[in-house]
Amino acid sequence: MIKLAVLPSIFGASLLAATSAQACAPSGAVELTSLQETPFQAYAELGLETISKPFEIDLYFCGDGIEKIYRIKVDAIMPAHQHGMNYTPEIYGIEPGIYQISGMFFHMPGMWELQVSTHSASETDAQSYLFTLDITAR
Amino acid sequence: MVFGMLAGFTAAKSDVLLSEDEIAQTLLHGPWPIEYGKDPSNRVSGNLEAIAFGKALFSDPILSRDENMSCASCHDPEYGFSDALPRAVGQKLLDRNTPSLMNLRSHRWFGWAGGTDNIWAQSIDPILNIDEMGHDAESLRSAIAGSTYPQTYGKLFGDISKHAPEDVLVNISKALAAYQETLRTGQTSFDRFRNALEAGDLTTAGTYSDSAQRGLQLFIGRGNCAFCHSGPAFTNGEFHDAGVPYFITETRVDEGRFGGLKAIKQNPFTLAGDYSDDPEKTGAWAVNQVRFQHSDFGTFRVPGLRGATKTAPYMHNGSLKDLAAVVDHYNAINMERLHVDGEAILQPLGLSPQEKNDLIAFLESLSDDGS
Amino acid sequence: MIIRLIAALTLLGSVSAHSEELQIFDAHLHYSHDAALQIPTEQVVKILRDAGVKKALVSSSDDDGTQKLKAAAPDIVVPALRPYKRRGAISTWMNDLNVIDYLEDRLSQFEYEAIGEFHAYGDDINTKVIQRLIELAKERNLLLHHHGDRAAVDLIFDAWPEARVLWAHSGFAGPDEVADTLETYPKLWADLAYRSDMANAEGVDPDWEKLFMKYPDRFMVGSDTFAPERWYYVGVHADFSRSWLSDLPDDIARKIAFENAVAMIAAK
Repeated sequence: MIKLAVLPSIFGASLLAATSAQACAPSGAVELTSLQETPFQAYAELGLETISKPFEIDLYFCGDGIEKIYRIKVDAIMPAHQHGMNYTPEIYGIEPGIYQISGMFFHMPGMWELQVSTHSASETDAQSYLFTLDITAR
Repeated sequence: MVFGMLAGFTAAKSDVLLSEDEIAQTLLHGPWPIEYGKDPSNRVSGNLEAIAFGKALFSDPILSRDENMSCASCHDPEYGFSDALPRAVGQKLLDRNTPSLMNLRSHRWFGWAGGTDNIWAQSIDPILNIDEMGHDAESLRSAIAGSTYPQTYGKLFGDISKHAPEDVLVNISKALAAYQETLRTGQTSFDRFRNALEAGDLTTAGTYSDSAQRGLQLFIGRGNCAFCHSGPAFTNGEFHDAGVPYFITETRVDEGRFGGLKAIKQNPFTLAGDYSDDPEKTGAWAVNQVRFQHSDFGTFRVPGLRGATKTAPYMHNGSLKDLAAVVDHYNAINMERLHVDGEAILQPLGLSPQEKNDLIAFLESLSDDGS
Repeated sequence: MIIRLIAALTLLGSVSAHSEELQIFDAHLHYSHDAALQIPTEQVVKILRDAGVKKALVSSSDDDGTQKLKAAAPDIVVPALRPYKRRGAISTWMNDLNVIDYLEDRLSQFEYEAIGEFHAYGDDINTKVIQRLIELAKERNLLLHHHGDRAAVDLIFDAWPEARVLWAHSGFAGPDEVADTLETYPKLWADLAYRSDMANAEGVDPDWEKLFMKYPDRFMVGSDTFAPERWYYVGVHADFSRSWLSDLPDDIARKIAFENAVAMIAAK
């Protein structure tokens, strides 16, 4: 996967406006869930092999309105232990609706909850969606 | 495939006590040893001349400004390259227990607080520490230049007279690192048990004592030990609050990981820095992306457990004199000390005397490699 | 944020150098029995003064620590009554009827501004002990410093709709949930103790920043001295707070650092 830009936290609207290709997830990707009504779906390809090793995630958003995604946030917590990761993942924008996340790191075995939130840019019509995925790490 | 086959055997043979899931968890603690290859951040890693040079330097008091101590003064091979003291003694009593130097390539962070992210940078710390060997880069260069080492140094790194003091410091430390990364524990009775399980060899697996097997069951089960002491080296390489007090004196505390993070963010000798010989900066992601958390204060690196029988006393301040004391500590852990959010893993275990002995038998089986 | 924090520490050298800067109301401190044994009260007061902590909401298990500290620094300490004598009772205290006697006894002897920090999740609030705790707070119009989830917050306000509640650690909830809870309960405040997700190396997290701008009067800082050694983190935490707050407009930074807690205490 080609890394187009390193954008640790905030994505520039110009990057997203530059291309208009519709993103869609590959067949092996796992769908994330959301408690909200969302106009698009989120899918992840996980590079997790084992705990205590950094891994990557490819994220795909498919459906209506992905062009409104201005930035995303990615993190993971261990709900049973009430702690998160010790590292801040880096987010790489690949094209609209497709992101590569590096520096994911699960330091304990057990159930982790991947949390992905999408945020629109508009202050007047701000919209965010939270997607989650339970991942068992060993 | 192996698991399913073993599950059948488990029902039939009583000398392998583990369930299918326990066997699967056990396999995660190997194979051992791991072949790490050369350290890309150190251009003399794996170089036999550098290893010999590093070994000579390791025991040479020339690395201390007053020539009154060497690396080996604290890192004694007799004690797993640790010492038998609760807290190390350099030019004075230091704040922490001397960590073992075995299996360093399995580390992501070094020292109890992770103030460095590679072996050669960690080797620089005691050389420069005023309370330990007390050199500065200039005095070290003078000491090496005036010794019998310039020829060896020159073959490995070039003419010392043309090197800046900081470069000499780093090169000497890379030779030390080349030696230290060869210090590894071998296969133990646990590894033979684990490998036999993987191979489906129940006869060999059955020679591992029942007591150690029961201890292993506690370790990966009710004891929750494997949450942190995970993987082939029995450490996740991260930092945790194990409920050990961290006052150094009545008015001074050991900042632990918080201090380590402060140190590494100011340290020029990281895997992300210019002194690394790796153009790919392999492993630099950790120092670049490590996250500051309030819980870092007073947490310490999870030590690997291989070879642990040689490295008593235990914990960052050597406050627990033997493995029995460590087991007792976790068995009756003081929940008053732990934050309700963040370390919700540790609970008093309520182990019986037999269970404590079993856990110790398992821990001892990680050290019987004859090294 | 760590880079920024360290830069501040390096440049300024010591915590005391900050004491004339942004005033801090530390809304989440404990001087519990083990801390009281190991750190002399005078030393604790020195730590607070060196850190520029001008006010502090202090609760302790047991309460003697709070009283000692209040006697030593009445200008700083805003006393809260913790309902249990040992932190080990965090998950069981609500089922111990002796807690009621303890609360009534201490409330009759000493002056308090709050009851808490108390830990309670969901239906815990419906226990006899916590319902009585709420009644006692209501009788005296005391603030409730609550550590728990949104369900518990809902039940507290069900029991006492006019309550003033300080939500410890902002419930360790995400910005959206915190926003919804603040919106639902105008007399809820939120402390940011033991969390650092509101800021990172790039500055204040944009979602938290929106929250601080939308609810500028509702947040406050706190360092949570849950173990004795953590007292030596109070100064570091005050500097950490000053560092990330410096990314916000000055008036909002002042509110979160100090003024909101003062207003919350005064909003009887």
